[in-house]
Amino acid sequence: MLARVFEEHGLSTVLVTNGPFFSGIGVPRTVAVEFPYGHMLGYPEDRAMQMQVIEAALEMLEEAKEPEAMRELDIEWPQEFDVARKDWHPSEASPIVRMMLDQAKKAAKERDRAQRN
Amino acid sequence: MPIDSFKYLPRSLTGYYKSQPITRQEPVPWTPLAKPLNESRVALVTTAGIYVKGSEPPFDAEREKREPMWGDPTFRRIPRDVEQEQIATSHLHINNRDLEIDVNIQLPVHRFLELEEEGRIGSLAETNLSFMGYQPNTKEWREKYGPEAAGLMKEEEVDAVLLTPA
Repeated sequence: MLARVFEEHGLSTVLVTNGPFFSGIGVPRTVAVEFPYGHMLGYPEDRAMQMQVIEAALEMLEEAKEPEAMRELDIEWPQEFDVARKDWHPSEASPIVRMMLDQAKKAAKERDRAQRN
Repeated sequence: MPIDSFKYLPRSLTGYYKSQPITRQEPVPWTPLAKPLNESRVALVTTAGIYVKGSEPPFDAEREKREPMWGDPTFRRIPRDVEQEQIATSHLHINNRDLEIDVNIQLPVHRFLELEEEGRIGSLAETNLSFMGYQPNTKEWREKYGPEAAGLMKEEEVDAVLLTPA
C-alpha cells in the first residue's frame, strides 16, 4: 500500500515481498521471494544472495513496462523449513497474539465450566 | 514454481488471510523510471521497525502493549552512512536477532553503497526510511505518513524506491 502512495507521488517503486498474494490490491512492481518474515533480502551476511534479490529488483525498475509487473525468484532458503518456520517469530509473543491466546484460554475455561454444569 | 505467500504464516492464520477480500484498487499508480538507473537516486524503505540508536526514539511498543489493535504509524530516518552498531530494533512481531547482525536483510544500505560505487545506480538517497509493519489500520499510512515520506524523498530528489516489508 505504501508502494501505491509513493508511486502516486512520482516515485518509481519496486516491492520485494514473501506475500505476492497481497499485491492483488494493485502494486506497480513486485519481486516475490519465499523467505521468512524479517529477511526479505536474504540471509544475514550472505552478500551474494542479497545482491541477487537486489539485482532482480533493479531490473524490474529498468524493464517493467506496465503496472502489476511481477517476478518470482526461486532462491532456496538455507535453513531447514522446520527450523525457519519457527525461527522468524519473536522470542516473546506480540501483544495481539498474547491477547488472542488469553481470549482462547478464557473461552476454553467457559466451555469447561458449562460442560460440568 | 509459484511462491507460496502463506508458507511462513502460522497455519491457523492462513484461512483467515486467504478469506480476506483482495480487490484491485483502480487505477494502479504508475511512474516509469525517468532516467537510466545509473543516473537515478534510489531510496530504501522498509517496515522492519528499525531506528538509529540515540538519534530518534524507538517505535511506541509500550502503547502497542496497552492497545494490541494499534500499531505505531510513524517512520524513522536511516542515514546512508549508518553503521550496523547504530541500528536498533523495535518490531514486536518478528525475531530481530538477524537484523541486529545484518541490517541489509531488510534495509540494504551497505549493498546500495557498493552499487553506487560500482556505478550500477546513480546514488543511494541521503535519507532512507523505516516504518513498523504491524498496522491493523493503515489509514494513517495512507493519509499522513505515506505522503509525508513521499514528500521527504521528493525533496531529496529521489527517483526510485526499494520497498521491503518485514
